[in-house]
Amino acid sequence: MKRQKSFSTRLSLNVLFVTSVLFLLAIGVASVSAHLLIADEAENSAGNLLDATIAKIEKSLMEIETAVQVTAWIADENKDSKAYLYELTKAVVEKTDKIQGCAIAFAPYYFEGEYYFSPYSSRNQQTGEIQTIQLGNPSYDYFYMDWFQIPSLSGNPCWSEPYFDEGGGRFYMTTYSYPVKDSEGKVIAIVTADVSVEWIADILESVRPYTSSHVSLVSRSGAYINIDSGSSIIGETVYSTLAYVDDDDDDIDSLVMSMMSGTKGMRKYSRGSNLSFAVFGPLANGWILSISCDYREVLARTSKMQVILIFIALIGLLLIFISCYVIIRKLTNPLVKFSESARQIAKGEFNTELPEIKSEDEIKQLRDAFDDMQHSLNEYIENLKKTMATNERYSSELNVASRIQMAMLPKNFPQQENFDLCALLKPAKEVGGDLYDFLQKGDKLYFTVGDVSGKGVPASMFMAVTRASFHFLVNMGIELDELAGTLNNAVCEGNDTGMFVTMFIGCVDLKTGEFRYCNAGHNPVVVNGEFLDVKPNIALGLFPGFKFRMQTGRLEPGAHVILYTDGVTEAERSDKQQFGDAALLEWARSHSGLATQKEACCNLLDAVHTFTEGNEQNDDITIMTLKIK
Amino acid sequence: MPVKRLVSIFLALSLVTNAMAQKLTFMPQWTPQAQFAGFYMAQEMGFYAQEGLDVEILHIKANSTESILTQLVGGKVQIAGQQLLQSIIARSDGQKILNVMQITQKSGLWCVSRTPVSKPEDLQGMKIGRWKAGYSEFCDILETYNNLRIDWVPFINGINLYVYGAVDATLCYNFSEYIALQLAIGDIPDNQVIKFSDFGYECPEDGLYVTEEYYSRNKDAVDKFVRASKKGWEYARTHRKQALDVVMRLCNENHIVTNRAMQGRMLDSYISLQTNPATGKIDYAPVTESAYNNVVRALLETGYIVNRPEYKEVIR
Repeated sequence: MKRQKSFSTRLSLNVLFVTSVLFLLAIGVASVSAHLLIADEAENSAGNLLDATIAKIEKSLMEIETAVQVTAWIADENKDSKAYLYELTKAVVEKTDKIQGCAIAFAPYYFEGEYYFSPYSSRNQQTGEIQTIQLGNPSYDYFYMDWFQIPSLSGNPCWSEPYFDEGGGRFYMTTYSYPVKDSEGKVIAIVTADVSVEWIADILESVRPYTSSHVSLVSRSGAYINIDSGSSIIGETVYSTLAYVDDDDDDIDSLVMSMMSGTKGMRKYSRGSNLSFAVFGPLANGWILSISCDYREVLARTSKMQVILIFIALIGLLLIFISCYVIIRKLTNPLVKFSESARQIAKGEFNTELPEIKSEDEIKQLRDAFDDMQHSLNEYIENLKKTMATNERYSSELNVASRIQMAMLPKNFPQQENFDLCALLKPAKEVGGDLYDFLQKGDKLYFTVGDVSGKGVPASMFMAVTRASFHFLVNMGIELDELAGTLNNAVCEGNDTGMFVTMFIGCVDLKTGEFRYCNAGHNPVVVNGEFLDVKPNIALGLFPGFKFRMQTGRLEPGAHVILYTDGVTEAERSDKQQFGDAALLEWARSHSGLATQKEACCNLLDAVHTFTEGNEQNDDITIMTLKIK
Repeated sequence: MPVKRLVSIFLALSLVTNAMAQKLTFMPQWTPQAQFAGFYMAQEMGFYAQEGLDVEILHIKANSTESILTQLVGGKVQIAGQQLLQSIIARSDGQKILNVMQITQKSGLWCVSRTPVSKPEDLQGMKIGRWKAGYSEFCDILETYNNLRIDWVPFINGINLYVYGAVDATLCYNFSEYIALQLAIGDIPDNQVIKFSDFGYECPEDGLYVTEEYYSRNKDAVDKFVRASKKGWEYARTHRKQALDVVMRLCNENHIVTNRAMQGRMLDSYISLQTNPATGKIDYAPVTESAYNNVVRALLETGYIVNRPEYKEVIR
């Protein structure tokens, strides 16, 4: 059998459970709030970082744009001197660190007879030497290069798509082109500055907010600008990289579309199970800067905090459990002693000493209640002892009464040659209310069986009076109807309790066989296996002065008479089935030939007991049988 | 010893065979890209070598001043990739060149506009980018047939004029510049695209060309090259990943800035142009006489050619 945990353990575990739930809720709410707050903060910070980075890059680009614009103005002013223009490009490269190359490319035939004219100076990345050449030739038809063609067609300056400089130091470059226009607004030349984008990569690397963050700068056609020469994303665009991810990845699709639309914004997106966000915005030259951050890294700090919180919570829970256990154990210790005291009291040691309680709390109240119980039990036991003594005395007296009652009934049954009579009475309680009697006067044999209403001592006393009166009246030699009337008047007198007695009184002349009888409300007797026809008189003790009617008949030799009380016919089994008249008649018919009436009485009683199957007897049983020989 | 003798004979034969392998230079139309994947795979898988050819694939430089046709006729290369239209003009001009294999069976020429367009007439008055390297004949045919006035802007590098808004529209091939545009600015709405084949401007494009003179002396080698090239294309079709690996390797070796998505889509689109509309199969069928005649008629009507080269003179 599973051992029940102690009260203190169970209570402590319950407290631990409730506290754990509360702790978990608190940690959950705190974590979610912290997550939301930090995520919000990270998004704002990334937005600010984006703005600051755009401003920083634009500042650097503007320095170059200004340098080129000034060069364009000087070139325009000095376009008549080709040698000056060559020197000018050289000076620009010399004086400006970020500018790796500078060209002043004129439109076809701007100078008469010269299809190409484009002084160009560039710095050799390895040696640092500056080389100046005329750029245009049939193999390098610069009029169709983006850096020339786009500003020529649009009339506006522009930054080119990033390209790989194969001639110099294999740097990733971009070119700023500025159109020089004549007085009619026609583009006559394009002044350019070639710029390595490595410094942009450095800026972007320095602003990376998280280790896993991506900071990307892309051109108008989605090409990545911040890449080094060994990078695998040279030649890739944001849309081509998109082609390598799942087709169903709508998050990334919409992110790229929002980003490339040239507006500033923030979007959340997921890659597999990772949730990230990206902030993006355009630079003045149409490039687009984006910073993406993985929420896992953003929220890593809260995750650490979460672990610490859980650790603290676990220690707290352990402390709560231990203190609960100790306190409850201390509080419930007297209960253990009480249970020991209760066990002693249960063994009958009512004066067992109870544990001392110093506190004024429920335990003290329990101790007082125990004390009261102890006193009450002592008193109760004392009273019980007295009551038991009284009951014992009553019981003893009842036994005496029963013996007296039984002693009143005749025990000796005469065995004569012309009749055999026997009777028995088996009371349901110590003293019963049934009676039987017989008396022989000369040739006449008087016999009676009666049943007093009620049971116990009062009934037995009533029975004693009735029997004594019957004896007296038989001796007076009066007829049975008068005898019944006189007996009725006698028992009615002073009968305040309303008791009554049913009686069958019979008298048989043993010589002639004449049978006189009077039935006072009693069960009809059985003669030779049939009920005797009796007139319905009332029971004795009900109405004084009632005129009883006597009947006559004959009992021939061999006649077998059975008198009984309702204890026989109404004897019940546990299923409420009664012995009944039919069983009695059946018994009478089958047992008329028994040797003695004593045997007959006993046999009938056995038959009744057999029928009731040991069920408790609830009424007195009286049987009298008479055999006329 | 008989075994030793056999081995010696075999080795000697191998050496002779190697020595006898015919050298041949093939020049595709443009710098390395998936448009030529079939030829790369024929080379890579040894299909040319198996035919006894020692093929060199020589790419033209993006800034080359010497056209492929010039190099073919001049004998620098023996086999060249060319479009039918230019080849007919060259033949009409007296360049004795022959089509020995027709690769694409349909035209992939499209025009992408910055504003919605539905028919060639909608291009009226637009500033439209086109290749500096050629294909201007088609533009003239388009203008003449539709009575259009278009400001053509020649370009070398595909898409940037369009992306930077320097032109209103640009011509492009659906397997090349169109894909580059998609990868630069995202999907392009259908209502900004005109597919010229939808309006009757259907012209089979890429084919392999040799000079008549070379063909007369090396018919067997040309046939072997064609056979191996077809095998190479079939291999590229069925081994897409491997073909793309080779294309990307060649692009890197030649410092072509591109990406795998671009080349992958190019390969798929280019293979779909190879399907013969008549049979629904990829059979590299020669240009039909009627298709040939349509092109010749258009060139005659626009004055690009005066003499009419006969079908049988050009198509073998």
